[in-house]
Amino acid sequence: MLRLAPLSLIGAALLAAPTVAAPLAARNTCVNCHGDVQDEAGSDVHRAAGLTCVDCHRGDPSAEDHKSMGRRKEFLGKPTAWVAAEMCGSCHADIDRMRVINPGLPTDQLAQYRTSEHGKLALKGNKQVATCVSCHGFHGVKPVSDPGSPASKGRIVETCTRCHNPAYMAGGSVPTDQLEKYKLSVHGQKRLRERDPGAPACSDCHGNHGAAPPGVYAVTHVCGKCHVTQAELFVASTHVTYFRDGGMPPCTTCHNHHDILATSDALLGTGPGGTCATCHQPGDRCDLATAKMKEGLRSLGASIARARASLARADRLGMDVERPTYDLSGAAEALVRARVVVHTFSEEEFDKVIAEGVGVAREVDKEALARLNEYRYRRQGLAVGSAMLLLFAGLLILKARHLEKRRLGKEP
Amino acid sequence: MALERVWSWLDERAGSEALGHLLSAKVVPNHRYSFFYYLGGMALFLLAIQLGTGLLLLLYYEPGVSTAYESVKRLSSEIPFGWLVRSIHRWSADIFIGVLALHMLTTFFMKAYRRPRELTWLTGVGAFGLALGFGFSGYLLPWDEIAFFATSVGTAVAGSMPFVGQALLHLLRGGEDVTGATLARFFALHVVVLPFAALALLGVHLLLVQKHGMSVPPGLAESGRPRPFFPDFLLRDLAGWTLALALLAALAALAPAELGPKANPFASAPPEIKPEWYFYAPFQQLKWIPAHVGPFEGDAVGALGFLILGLLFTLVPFLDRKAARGERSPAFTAAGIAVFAYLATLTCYVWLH
Repeated sequence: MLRLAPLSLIGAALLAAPTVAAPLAARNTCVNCHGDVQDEAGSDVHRAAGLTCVDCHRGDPSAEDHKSMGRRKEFLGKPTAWVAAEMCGSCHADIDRMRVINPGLPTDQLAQYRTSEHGKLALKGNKQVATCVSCHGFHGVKPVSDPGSPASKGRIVETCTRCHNPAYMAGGSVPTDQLEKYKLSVHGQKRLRERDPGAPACSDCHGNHGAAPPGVYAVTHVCGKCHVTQAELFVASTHVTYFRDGGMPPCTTCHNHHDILATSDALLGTGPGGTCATCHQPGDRCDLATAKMKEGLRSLGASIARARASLARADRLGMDVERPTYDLSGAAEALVRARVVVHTFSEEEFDKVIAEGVGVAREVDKEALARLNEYRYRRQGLAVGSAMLLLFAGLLILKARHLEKRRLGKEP
Repeated sequence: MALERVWSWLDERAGSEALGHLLSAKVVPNHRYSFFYYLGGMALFLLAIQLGTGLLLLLYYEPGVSTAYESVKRLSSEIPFGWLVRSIHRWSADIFIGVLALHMLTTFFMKAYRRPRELTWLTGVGAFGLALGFGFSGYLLPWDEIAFFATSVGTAVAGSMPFVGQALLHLLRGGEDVTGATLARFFALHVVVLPFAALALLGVHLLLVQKHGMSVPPGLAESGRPRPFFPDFLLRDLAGWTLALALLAALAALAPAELGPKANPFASAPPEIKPEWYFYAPFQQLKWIPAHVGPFEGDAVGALGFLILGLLFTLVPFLDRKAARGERSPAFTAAGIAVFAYLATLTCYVWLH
């Protein structure tokens, strides 16, 4: 650290203060030959922090000849595998140093990397495996928050699949169909087609520096990061024991993993598209229960549709339906909740939610029908009132004419 | 018998016999344009509807940024017949201004402003101005999105007037922007200042009509003996009012007054904001005027143009010397037709777009 600090300061002075840098520039002899690398570095985050070539590659920047890159000068050259990880870790795992440079960054990346599949292979000397620079880049490193960084949320799928593809991983034991499956999944559709930055990508489930396939029972925790209620209900349900005893990972057994399809009511039961068929037979207790659940969902959906249609009719006729329209959101919310409560595998819990939703939808439908009746009442009132007013106006005109005739008859 | 006793009781205390004489002596000229004499009575009837429904609305309306919109919403959806009262108030305001404009135009073309009815004309024009003020101030009171932005634009036009513009803008808005202070001012204007001023002006107007009677256009031959006001003319008036009431009820039931989203000063203005129909002509004129006319701002020139036009219209009894002598004045008729046609074209243009 003591050795690097002055060099860092020199680098910072070189890059940040041109008036002072001129006499010092000659001492960074790396750029005499590798000037193109300096251009490539551009707005590199390390360069901006004042680091120079020697901070990563070591060596002696003051030496004019090739001795500057000799072993005696601890020159690393272009490090690969674990050496590359250690090179970055020399700063990023150093709490004292990072506290000065960027206290906002974590310092456990190297420790996590050591436990990852990537790190384990790197430690064995595998030069093909991903290291820090594989994901973050090297001379043009950008902060992860920068959309241009290959490790940024928007580009991470592209970055991971640079290695996790059939060509690069040929001959290996790791599957290489993740991207194709991910493209079909509900997450992939959201992320790649709809450009939804909130949709999960590789690192959201597998982690980043400690990237590894989640353990069989850890899947609930991985999916539960976003699907909190579903995970909680599943863990509290009776099914959790059956899954454990059967050695089946929770969540992914029914929903798959890389090719997670959009959920639908068809997933319930043993029929076509039903995920229960993995363990259950048509006509067994589960099949009968899920048939009832599907009917409950259909009935609640139909009640909501009926109420919505009545509200739309009343709205088209100019009646105020703002409040019942708002109330109907309670039924729609119950429908969403019912689909979540399926994860309790409890008919009783499920029926309670369905009954609540159907009750709200029926109440709203009644309100909408009351408004339609009010509309009819107004129309009838208008017809009767207008008829009476027209009759009265006609009588007044007749009376006026009659009076006029009588007056004119009397006049000479 | 009982009626006579009540009448004599009233006569002894209030001199109602004099009113009876007045009614029996009042006559309405009979000629081919006599129909237009009903417009004044119709405007009076619609004003009464406005006052009646306005009073009912006042029972539930709560002025204030956090209460105005909510109270109008409650009135329209929860209070029994609230929607009907509000819709009639809204529709009768539109029809009232239309009838007043027609009344004024027929008065203009029948040269009824000529001597000795100059003051009747001036009070009538003043009452029309107050009616426009009623419309402008009432438009903001529901405090919905369209009301807010239309008032912002309307007051900005007033603010573009040369010399007095900025002071007028501050006076109307109660500050730089349309806020709760503007709402409070418009409410006070709508329910206190304007009604008192209108009733006072209308009282003078009616007294003057009573004093001078109804004018017959110069050079027009009467087609018969004048018609007694009571009961012949009044019965026909009543029939017209009844038909107007039926029309209002139909409009209220078939096209009730709308209420948009609540005003949000931080939201962007809706793309197609329009004022009330009677402001369409100046609104479109100001849109067409370029940003700068010579060294002056376009809005200021437009606003000043309409102000001068209004002033000339008000002073027409003193400008039209021929009519004052009881002669025909075709130049004024032609100018009136040109101005009216222009304003009507602009209004139709905005309406259709």
